[in-house]
Amino acid sequence: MTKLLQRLEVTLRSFYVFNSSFGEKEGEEHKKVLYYHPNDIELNTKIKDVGLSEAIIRFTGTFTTEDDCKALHTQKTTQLFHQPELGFWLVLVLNVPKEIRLKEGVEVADYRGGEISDRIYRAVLRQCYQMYRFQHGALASLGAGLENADQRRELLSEKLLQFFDTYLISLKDLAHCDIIDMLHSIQYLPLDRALFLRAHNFGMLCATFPVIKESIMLYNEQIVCGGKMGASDLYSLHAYIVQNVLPMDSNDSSANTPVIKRSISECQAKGFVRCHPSDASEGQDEVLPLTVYLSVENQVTPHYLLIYRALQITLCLFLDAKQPAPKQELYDELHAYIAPQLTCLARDIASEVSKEALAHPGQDSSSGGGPASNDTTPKYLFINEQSLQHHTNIHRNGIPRNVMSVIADLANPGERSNVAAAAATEELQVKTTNDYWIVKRCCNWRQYYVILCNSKATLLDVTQEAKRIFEQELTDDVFFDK
Amino acid sequence: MDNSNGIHYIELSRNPIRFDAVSQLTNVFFDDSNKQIFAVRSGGATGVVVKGPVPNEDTVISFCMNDRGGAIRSIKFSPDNQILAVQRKENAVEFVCFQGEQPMLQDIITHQVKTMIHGFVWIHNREVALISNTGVEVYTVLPEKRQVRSVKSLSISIKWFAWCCDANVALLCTTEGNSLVPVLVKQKVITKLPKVDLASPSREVQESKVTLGQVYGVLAVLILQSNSSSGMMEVEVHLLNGPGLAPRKCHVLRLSLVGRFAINTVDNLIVVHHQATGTSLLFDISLTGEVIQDITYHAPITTGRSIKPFGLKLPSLSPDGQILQCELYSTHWVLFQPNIVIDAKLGCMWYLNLCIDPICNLISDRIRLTEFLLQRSSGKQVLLKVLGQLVDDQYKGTLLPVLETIFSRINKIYASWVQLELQNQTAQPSNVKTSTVKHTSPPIVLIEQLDMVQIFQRIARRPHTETILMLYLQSLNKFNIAAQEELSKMIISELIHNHSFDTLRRLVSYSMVLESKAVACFLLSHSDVDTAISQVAIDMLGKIQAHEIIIEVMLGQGKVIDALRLAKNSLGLDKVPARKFLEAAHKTNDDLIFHSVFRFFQMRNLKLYETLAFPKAEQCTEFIQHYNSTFPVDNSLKPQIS
Repeated sequence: MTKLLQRLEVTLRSFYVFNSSFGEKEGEEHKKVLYYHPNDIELNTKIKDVGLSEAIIRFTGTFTTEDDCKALHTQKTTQLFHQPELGFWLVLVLNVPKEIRLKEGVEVADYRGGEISDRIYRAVLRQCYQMYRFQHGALASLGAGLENADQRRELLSEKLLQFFDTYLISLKDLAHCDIIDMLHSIQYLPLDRALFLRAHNFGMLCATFPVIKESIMLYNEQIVCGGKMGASDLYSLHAYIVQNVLPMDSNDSSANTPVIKRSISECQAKGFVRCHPSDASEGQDEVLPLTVYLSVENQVTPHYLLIYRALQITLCLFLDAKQPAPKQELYDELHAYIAPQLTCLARDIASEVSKEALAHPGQDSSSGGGPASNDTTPKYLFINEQSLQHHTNIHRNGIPRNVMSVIADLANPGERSNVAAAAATEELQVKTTNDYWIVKRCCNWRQYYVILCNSKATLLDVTQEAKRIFEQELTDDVFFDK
Repeated sequence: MDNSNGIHYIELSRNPIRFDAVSQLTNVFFDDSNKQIFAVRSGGATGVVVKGPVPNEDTVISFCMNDRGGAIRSIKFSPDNQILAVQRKENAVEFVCFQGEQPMLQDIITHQVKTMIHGFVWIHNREVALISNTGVEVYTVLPEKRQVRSVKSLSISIKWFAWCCDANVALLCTTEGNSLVPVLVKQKVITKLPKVDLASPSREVQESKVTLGQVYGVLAVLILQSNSSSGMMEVEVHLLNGPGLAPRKCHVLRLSLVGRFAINTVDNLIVVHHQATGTSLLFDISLTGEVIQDITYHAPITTGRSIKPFGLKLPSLSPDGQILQCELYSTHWVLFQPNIVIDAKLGCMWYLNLCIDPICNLISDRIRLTEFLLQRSSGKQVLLKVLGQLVDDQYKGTLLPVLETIFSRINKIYASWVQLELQNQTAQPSNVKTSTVKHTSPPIVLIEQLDMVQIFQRIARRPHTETILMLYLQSLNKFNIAAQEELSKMIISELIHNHSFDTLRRLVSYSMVLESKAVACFLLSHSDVDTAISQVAIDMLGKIQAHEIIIEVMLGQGKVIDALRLAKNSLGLDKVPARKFLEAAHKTNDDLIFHSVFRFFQMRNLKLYETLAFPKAEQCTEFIQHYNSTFPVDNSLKPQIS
């Protein structure tokens, strides 16, 4: 007889960044390690870990044409590899979930490595890099002016330390990462035509003020119009705003965001969110705005990010950082121009949103909310691969991990590798060992999942039920082959 | 005078009507109803030449008539030129009947009254209204009976009158109380309208200060008077648009000048000529002005400018001729409504015309210019040109709010027209019999989507084009006008060019671009740029249920099974063309697909015709052979070639 004593969920074991080219000479191995979390362990261990990763990458490299070593599963850990830039590797090491059982009076650890979905955690790892790049630019570009490789390395280490020490703390509980995290999906605010056009055409601000290269508008946590920004940058921006800017509303006292070591003060109830270097003297009148890095035409270029808040709207303005930093006059001018229009727009959107909420009281568009539905109600998840939009009633943690992993494995990869093939139309039905049925349909770059839990269902029942849900819930997009 | 300035917004018509100039022998009369000019030599005895209204020799009537004593005071043809009315005495009018173009001088009807005739006007081919000091009387002229019969009369003591032939309204100045009473005179009907409100009862208005004109289809009584405080001259505009055509003082035109003025109306603009400075001021009462107590005070549209100098080509033997520079604002000028200038000494009659191009340079405010041009009969081309410049070489990012307002002005008119057309199309059910189909005239300047698309096409693929198009789309949406095919395509191609797939996706999902097969196919043709486009295209096809195109697209992509499933669901089992799908399946070189498709049709045959065999009409023989050769199984199951 076995008895479950304790279950330990997946946790972060370590995370490191290395580049072999920084320490090619013998005795300089420590130079390869650009960042290692946790920091308080012996340097030798760090070097060993990096060396092992290097060895695995080299080894697998002999079997594949590219450096596409992705994951390594051991009994107790799962290692995920990601090489975003040539030579730079990010490695995420996870402790696999563990169940401690009492077996004939002896405690036995049962490692459940199979429960970890590589694709979900690879997406988490990828996002680690994306967030770093969004705020600090490409790894290779840092200190490009410096001749001395050592100096560059030190500079980079410092930056990585500064960023990841805080980022990893703020990283959400790894045990709860799911398909939504994997997709990096972006939620758009549904609006009526006129309001959408108004919001969209607010972007003509960029034409009025030519220094502004791009403007992105958010309403609460949803994006109103995304402009021409790439999806991954948009996701990073969204993550940044949700983590760092929006919380300031709730705790309006001097908010110290952990990510950037600056105190952010708001002008008033609304206006520009300005960043002051906390250690700078008050007399300094020119405050450098936040710099972010966007990929424009396959090149990562720095931009100043000005964040303007009006009621629930957050307007992000991007300025070319190659130009001198904006002066106070520009802020004033922009404020005078934006404030009345944006406040008015925000009010109109708010009334529209509340009207919508009244009309459909059952549908709560925000992902987290809603009463916890019981496990037997059918769940659905619709994803548009092109816009990365999703529509779901999956309450987080409402579905067992294995079902989530199955979906993650079924899901077409977010990376646009097989563009033409992705348009395939298919239907799949999967039954899991714990009596869940997953029906996947895929058509016109959209994926539809229905998750049913019914142990007695037959294939026919499941088909019928899935069809019913598709017809009932699928109102926004056209699924012509119902 | 700033003649040298070079910019003129008013010109004289190029071909003036020439007539014999006033001299000792020749008297000249003008009938502003028929726009005919009469040159009467020696009281008619040596000839009368009638010209007008167009500068064309065909319209000349010349004849002689006896000088029956007494100088001619007024001479006017009936509208059909068949009866000539001549007033020689203050209490009599003669009617001369015409046969062709010659008078029948033996049949002159002389109509004598006991009152003093101020004047007469033809209101119909056989009806004439006499306005005398005791009232207005309408008579029918009966040439056969050589009779003039009174039809209708209105008794009112009259000091002077003014006539507007377009509106059939006479403005009477009464002897008692000096009030101005408009009277509608039509065939057999005289209607007295409410009098013009002159503010103070003692105010006396001189005949020379009053002009009757039609502005924007409404009769306007224009009264020149000096401002009580500044002493500058103003024009009061009383519009007959109140209840029961009651005149209301609606506008005041501030001239900011003193002296002698004359007023014309050109293309619904009020033109006030000032003789002393030799300039003409333009006013448009549809533009906004300062509003005080429901009265709009207008300033001139721009500073006063002179009429364009006119060179008159004199008849000469030498080929180059001689050019005479006409004196503008001459004392010999007489102005008639709406836009006629007559120089009696020179023997010229012109029409005043608006030069619309120079005005575009004079009105720097583009929004005001748009409002101005939208009301001008020749404004469309000029406005399109202005718009073209605004989005093209004059484009600046800061101009976008201006463009937004201009689009809004244009589309407001466009929307009202679209609405009217829609009503005309729908509001003719069978139960409405009596109501005549109202032929609605289009707005003066109607700028439709197609016009705008032509402008936008000139700036295709510029960085700012998408912004402008989206702005225009927003404006259309504001007025509930759906985007048509050309505009939709233009927007789509700009969005694709700028890689704004996100916006494109949302426009299609909101149905803000036209949903049609043509637009969807246009999208499909660009699907090589990004897969997002083909998704959007198929979405659109799905919305308009154009399944046959989706099937073609899928077949083109080699997705035969998907296409077949869709065809079965949308067309119905019996309508799926077997040959087409078998052919497509054959082309994929995938035996599994071919087998599936073939088996599908066999099962269909079984269902429809109760046999596995294909009907001959479907011409599937080659595919049956292919199937047999690819899957040679049990001979007994082999389908027969029918």
